[in-house]
Amino acid sequence: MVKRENKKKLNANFQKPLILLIVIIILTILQPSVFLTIDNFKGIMLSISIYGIMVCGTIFPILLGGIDLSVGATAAVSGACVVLTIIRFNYSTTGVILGILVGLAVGVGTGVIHGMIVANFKVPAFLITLATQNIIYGIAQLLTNNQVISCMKPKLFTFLGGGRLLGVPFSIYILIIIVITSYFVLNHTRLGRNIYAVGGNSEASDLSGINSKKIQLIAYAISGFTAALAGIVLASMNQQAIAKAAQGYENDVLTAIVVGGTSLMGGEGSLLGAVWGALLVGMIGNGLRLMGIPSTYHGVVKGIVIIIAVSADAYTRYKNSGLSKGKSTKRFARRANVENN
Amino acid sequence: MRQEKIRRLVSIALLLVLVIVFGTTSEYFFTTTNILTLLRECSVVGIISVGVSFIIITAGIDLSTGAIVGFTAMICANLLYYTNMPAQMIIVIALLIGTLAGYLNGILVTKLRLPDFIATLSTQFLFRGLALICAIRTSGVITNKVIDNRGILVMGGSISGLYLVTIVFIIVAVLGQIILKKTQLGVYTYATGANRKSAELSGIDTDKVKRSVFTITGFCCGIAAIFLMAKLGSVTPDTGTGLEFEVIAAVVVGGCAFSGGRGDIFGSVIGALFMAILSNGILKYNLPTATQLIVKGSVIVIMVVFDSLYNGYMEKKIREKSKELEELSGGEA
Amino acid sequence: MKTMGKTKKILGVALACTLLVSTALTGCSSVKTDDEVSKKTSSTSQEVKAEVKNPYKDEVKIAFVPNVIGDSVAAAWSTGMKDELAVYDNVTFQTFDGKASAETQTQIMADLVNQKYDAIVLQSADSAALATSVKQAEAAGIPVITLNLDADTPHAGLIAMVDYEAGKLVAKNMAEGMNKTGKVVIIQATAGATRGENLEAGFRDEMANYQDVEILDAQSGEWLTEKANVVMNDFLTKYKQIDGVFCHNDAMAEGASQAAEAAGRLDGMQIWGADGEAKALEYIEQGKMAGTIYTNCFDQGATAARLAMYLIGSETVTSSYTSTPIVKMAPIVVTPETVGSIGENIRW
Repeated sequence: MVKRENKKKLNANFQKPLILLIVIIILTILQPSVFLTIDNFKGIMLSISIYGIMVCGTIFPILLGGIDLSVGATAAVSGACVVLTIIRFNYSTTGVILGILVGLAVGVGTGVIHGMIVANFKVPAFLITLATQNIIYGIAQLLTNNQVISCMKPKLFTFLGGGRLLGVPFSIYILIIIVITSYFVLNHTRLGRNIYAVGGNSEASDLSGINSKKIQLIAYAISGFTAALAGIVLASMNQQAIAKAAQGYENDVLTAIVVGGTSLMGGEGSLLGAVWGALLVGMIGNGLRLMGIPSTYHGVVKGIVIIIAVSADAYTRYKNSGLSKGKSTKRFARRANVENN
Repeated sequence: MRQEKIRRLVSIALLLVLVIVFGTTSEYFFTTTNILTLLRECSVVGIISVGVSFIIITAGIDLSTGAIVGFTAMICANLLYYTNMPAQMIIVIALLIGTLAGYLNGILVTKLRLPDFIATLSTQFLFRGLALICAIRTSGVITNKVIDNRGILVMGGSISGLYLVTIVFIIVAVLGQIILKKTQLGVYTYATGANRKSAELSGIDTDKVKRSVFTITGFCCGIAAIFLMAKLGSVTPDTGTGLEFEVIAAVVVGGCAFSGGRGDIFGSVIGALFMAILSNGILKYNLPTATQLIVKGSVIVIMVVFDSLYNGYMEKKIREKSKELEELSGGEA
Repeated sequence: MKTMGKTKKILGVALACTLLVSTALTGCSSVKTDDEVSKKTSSTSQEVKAEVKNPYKDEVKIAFVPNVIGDSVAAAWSTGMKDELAVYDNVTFQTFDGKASAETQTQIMADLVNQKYDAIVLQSADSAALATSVKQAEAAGIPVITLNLDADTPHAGLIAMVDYEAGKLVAKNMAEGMNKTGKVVIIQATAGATRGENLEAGFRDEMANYQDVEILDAQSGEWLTEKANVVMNDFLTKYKQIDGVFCHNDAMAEGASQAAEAAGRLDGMQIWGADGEAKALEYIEQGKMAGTIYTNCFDQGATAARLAMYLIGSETVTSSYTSTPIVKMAPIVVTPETVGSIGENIRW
């Protein structure tokens, strides 16, 4: 019994990296001289950097069984706040620092509001964040007056998204720092443990003294924070703020998180899984581009690859979940059915 | 069951509040043309939400509905442009494609054990991609064609103003409610959603239930594709984009919960109406686009929060009353 | 299982009914398509309007339905229109977001017809999908003026930025700038976007005249700066030599430029966009882009507004047109040499 349990765990732990390795091998064979290079790896990381930052924060409310669809909108508003502040303060360093603080504050603020509504009113987070997505994009339109607000200086600001440190785009450094922080919080702090507890069974955790309302508040605030940060990096990368920035990014975020094994019901999933999910999707896009396959076909390939990659992962987890009809369960159910008929 | 009835009344009341507000503040809201247009607009989303209600009641989700509609419509557009097939045949083909696509979702979820979200997200990419690949092209460039086949266009038509799609929506909704409430499939659907493991242990083949609900949704998508195609008079690779979120929003507003086991078709109909009335009403005032968005989002938040608050209040009242009754009868025993 | 039988029965019955009903409907005369309804209402009107409004005195409502809000081109049109109409107190100018969806636009159009707007300026998401809506509006007596993208039905007018010709101009100038030899990549619009397809067709057709220029690859940047940045990075990884980059819009050209600069390969690269937004002009001045095709979008918007006012006051009923008259906006090829000629007040 114990040996089998251990073997199951071993398989589960190595499933994801193994799948990734297989994808890497396939793509290396298809594009030998280019895929497995540092330059290309930087390219893949760059392509996932913006929504990757969002993933690290939005995974918190999802682990609680909630969701945050407003991340794109929050990113747009924060980007607008930064740019407007910088212009207000005449492109000075103060402007940049103040702008970033304002942008992040706006993100945290929206997150807190989401958390309060979801925690206190028992309303589906899906609906609320879908609705606030409208509101926040509306605010972004008001702030930018539907114009494109260009911001090509100072260097301090444009470096965040566009600069390179030791040849690596700076946005990748930001992504890595956020990933490490998020991983640490989720796996090595009390907050992280509480999040898994509340997500798994909110009544039980209430009884054991965890304030689930506070946890929800914090989770949504974190999601808002990372969305704002991503928006700031995006505005820096594009050197502009527009009302429709980051539109559709919530889809990429959710794809990465769920492909990585996090359940939308809460309580199950990991940050590393989400990172794996983001890398997988990033590699698909990168691989297709390197192979020169016309963009028309990217959607179909993406869908098929995700199905294949996740099937292998999901099948093992299902086998371990207790839902699968083991021989004894099937016999029992059949017997019960016969008796009823 | 009193709870459910009260929930229902509250939803309808909120709907009426919205209607009255719009009706009294805008001169164009209560016109016959507008009401009929409004009903037409909520019908496509409404038809699909009948199927998606089943899925959400089983604690599932379907993100591919828009893509299935788009793919089905694109195949039909190709048939209309390249062949001389009669419209009736194309309509039947559309229903078949939709149903098969839904069945594919069911297979992915039950045989490959993919979580609903992933399976339907992947099929969304798949079908959306296929719709793009199948778009009608002239010398390599996508040139969407206008449909002139009356047999198809008549589906987008109206009988003295009342649109066919609305009539079909009502029929589909009634059929859906009957299946949900009066057939074994409906019972099994609720059971699967409430607690899948127990349903499994009591002998229900939850896999078959899941496949059925996805297939039903696919069928609804096929119907929706025909009407959408007829209304637009053309199909583009983007047809149906975003539909899945509208549908899910309508279903959830109408009372189905993601945790499963709750809600029904009638609720989803109210949800679809609510969203359509909101979208329609907002266009009537001279609001800048930003304000339109803010108002739309705020109304949804207010309505949903109020709905939840009022339901909580009523539930408390019922609990208190039943406690009273217990104490009274407890005394006798 | 029993449940499956019952459900299959219901579905089967539904399918059979559909066949019967759809055949019956086609023959039944009481069912009218939208077309037939609007033909009925407009067959009573002649080629000349019964009563004509004075657009400079009477209450007039003009609607603007762009493809998507937040686009620099749409913003410029909007400013141009607003400035033109601002002086008339009797004119209400209202914008509606098309959200990049033909379905949303048709919904909005239907509502505008119901609300009896006097003129509509529309940037179609797709020319075929909006045909029915435009037809309905025209039949209701509302002149529809389209911007950039046509609608596959005759209407009051189309005011367009050149796309095919713009692509040709870019190809010509880029090839000359590369001394007629070298390798080129294309960063495309979202797959299926008509404007992008026409730009690329013009580009490729003209490039065919330069045998020593090779078009290596084309990938979609989805009209977005950050996506073009990523695509350009992949191109730079894959191809050791890139001499020219054509992007279907300026936003993507800026992204490509950022990628090239960060990789240290910007020098000597001919990066071209199309549209002519102010940021692109700045990039050209700073040597980060080689050129773009500029259109005065303020003027384009203003032209649409003037045409709308003209048509509202005109006796001619535009639904009687059998083809759509077109106004083409003359493009300016912007290069580091010519960028100075574009004054501050016409930069958008």
